[in-house]
Amino acid sequence: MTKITLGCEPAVGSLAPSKKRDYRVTNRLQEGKRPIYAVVFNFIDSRYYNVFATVGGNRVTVYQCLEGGVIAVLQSYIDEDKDESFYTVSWACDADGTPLLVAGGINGIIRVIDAGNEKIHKSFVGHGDSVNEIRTQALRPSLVLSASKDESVRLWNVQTGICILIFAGAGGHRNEVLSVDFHPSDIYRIASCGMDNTVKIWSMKEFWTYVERSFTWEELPSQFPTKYVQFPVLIASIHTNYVDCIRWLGDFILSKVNDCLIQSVDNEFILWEPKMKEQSPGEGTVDILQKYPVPECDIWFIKLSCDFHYNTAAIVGKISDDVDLEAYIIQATEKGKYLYGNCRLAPLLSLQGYLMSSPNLPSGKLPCRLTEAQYSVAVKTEPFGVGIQSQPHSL
Amino acid sequence: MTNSSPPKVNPLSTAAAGRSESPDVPVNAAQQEADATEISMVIESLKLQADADRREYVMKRMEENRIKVAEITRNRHQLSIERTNQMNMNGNKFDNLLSRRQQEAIDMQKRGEIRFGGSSSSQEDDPVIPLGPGIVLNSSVRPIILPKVEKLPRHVTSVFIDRNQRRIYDDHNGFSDEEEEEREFAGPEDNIIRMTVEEVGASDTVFDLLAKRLSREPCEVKARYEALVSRKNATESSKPGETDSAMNALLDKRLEEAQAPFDYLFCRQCLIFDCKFHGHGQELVYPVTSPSPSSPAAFPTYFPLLLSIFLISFPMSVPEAKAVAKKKM
Repeated sequence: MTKITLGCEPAVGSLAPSKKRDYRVTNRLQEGKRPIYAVVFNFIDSRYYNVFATVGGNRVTVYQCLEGGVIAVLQSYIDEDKDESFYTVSWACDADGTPLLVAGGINGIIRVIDAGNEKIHKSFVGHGDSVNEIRTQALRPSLVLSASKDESVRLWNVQTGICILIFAGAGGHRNEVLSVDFHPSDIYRIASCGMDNTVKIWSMKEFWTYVERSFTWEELPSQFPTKYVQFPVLIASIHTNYVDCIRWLGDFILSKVNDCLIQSVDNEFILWEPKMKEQSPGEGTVDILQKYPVPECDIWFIKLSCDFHYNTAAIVGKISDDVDLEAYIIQATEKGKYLYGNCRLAPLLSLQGYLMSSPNLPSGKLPCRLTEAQYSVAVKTEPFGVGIQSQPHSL
Repeated sequence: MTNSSPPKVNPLSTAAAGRSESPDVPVNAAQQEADATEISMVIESLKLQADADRREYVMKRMEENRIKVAEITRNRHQLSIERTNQMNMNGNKFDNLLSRRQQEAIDMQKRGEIRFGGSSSSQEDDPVIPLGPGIVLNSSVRPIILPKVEKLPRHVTSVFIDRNQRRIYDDHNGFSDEEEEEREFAGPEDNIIRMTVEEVGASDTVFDLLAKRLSREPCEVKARYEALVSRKNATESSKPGETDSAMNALLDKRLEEAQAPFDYLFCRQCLIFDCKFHGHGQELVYPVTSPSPSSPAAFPTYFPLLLSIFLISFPMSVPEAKAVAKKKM
């Protein structure tokens, strides 16, 4: 556990809102009887800025936001295996710009769906256990990372169907990897976090030739020399419990710990800066800059969603027991800005609780304008098989 | 409680002088308290200064990062627009089905084909039930089946990282357990120590109060101060190793303490710890590698070997070893 020395303390935010945000719910949709585990907008292609995908159960659905709060269902994909439960989805694209959807879940199989031709493009079998998160490299959208319960992180080329690198081994995670993210500008750097309470930063620099080869590989994908990256360049133990969400914010990292198992402890986001030593990988320091408290939340894996410009973030607030959870799509009154929403609930818990993104997140008290939700998505969860009839709520 | 004997030193003059006076001069309780208060005030003001510096630093870094993030998102925006333009240049704007469905949906909305809640069909395949202002459900959208794929058979292997290797890794990387926490002194703390001593002297009280404030042991703070001073004075020193000798002595002492339980449990005959046949408390023989007793190199070569034997054969951390040794004694 990194101890904080005098003169290096972080600034701590407060839960009291400083401004009232002007959001309204414009629509509510219910997707069958399954929980919705992820929601994601397409930031890769400007044609699809108003298109988002959801995953729930064995289904992947594509929607579009129209004028006046109307939502259109564009496409729907169902896994033939009824026991599949998708946990995560991410938009990608191939060299021609054809939009792809990459989804993974409890089966550990990653489905690459060709949304431009409405068919399955590739299926990646390789992970030894369920896939917890999939992220796309914005600078090179044919590369995706997957974080898995099998304690590894894998880099895939969705265009050629090759598993390029596996981040696991002596220096890898010692428990489920819950979240992973690409660095926004340094194409060699990634960060991962998981149930071993650590955040690990990895570098692909010395393996980059393999990444390039994966684009031109002519033989069978299974013959590709997949490499193991066993040692991260930095390991940060700043959290005392499961770290269930990590996002790069420029050179800083925003990571969230969930103390739900301990209870009565407020969760928090920590904004910190990793300082790596170029000459000695494996050594480095961590400078904790800010902490944002999050109201008590007893569900794991609630992810953070940021908008395109990283000006705003939505997180989940308090859950109370007396109201049903629902899926909301909240549209900002300002047009032209979209939120990349991504929430996931642990399938272990089915709560009749209310999961709402808090529009009044603390900002203004902190030097960083981090938190304003423009589109916020909250996720519905119900015990399986129970019919749903929810009362509309006003926010 | 009254003080019967007259003070040896005028309390006022001592407080005024206050600078590096010999700490061996006996002072009475009241004066000690006055000194302590003054020292505390000095430390407090230095700490406030450090806090302010820290806030400034955080804000500066946040601003720099904000500019960087703005550049990144601008770049991404550019890339996504280029992707669109690339498709448009390739000919038909609706050359893929996703775009076509987009356009169909917009057209349907224009024609007023919006479905509202309440009249949802109860087929299992119907994906979405609207509960609000309504959705456009393109009736030609059929769910596309993703064919089943064979999963990997479950393969059970031995655990790659078992308990004691994990322990080793943790210890090497300094993720030590609570008792043996080794914190390095950071820049601002060094400054506070140095400036406090400059202002109010280097008496034991000063180190005690500093230790309390910085959550460390007084001997640590004192050792650190001496290391700082000797580092500053020894700019022309030809033996750089001596400048941190105070710190090293402290670390050596802790090494000895940590090693004690291992020594107690080690069996010279079986080369294991906590031997059932030969018991404990055997007299250990240290190998002498060089005739010079002052060479620090002789000592450390023994310990890591011992430690690695120990950790491979008997998974335990230092406090656990202590506990076991205590029980066996």
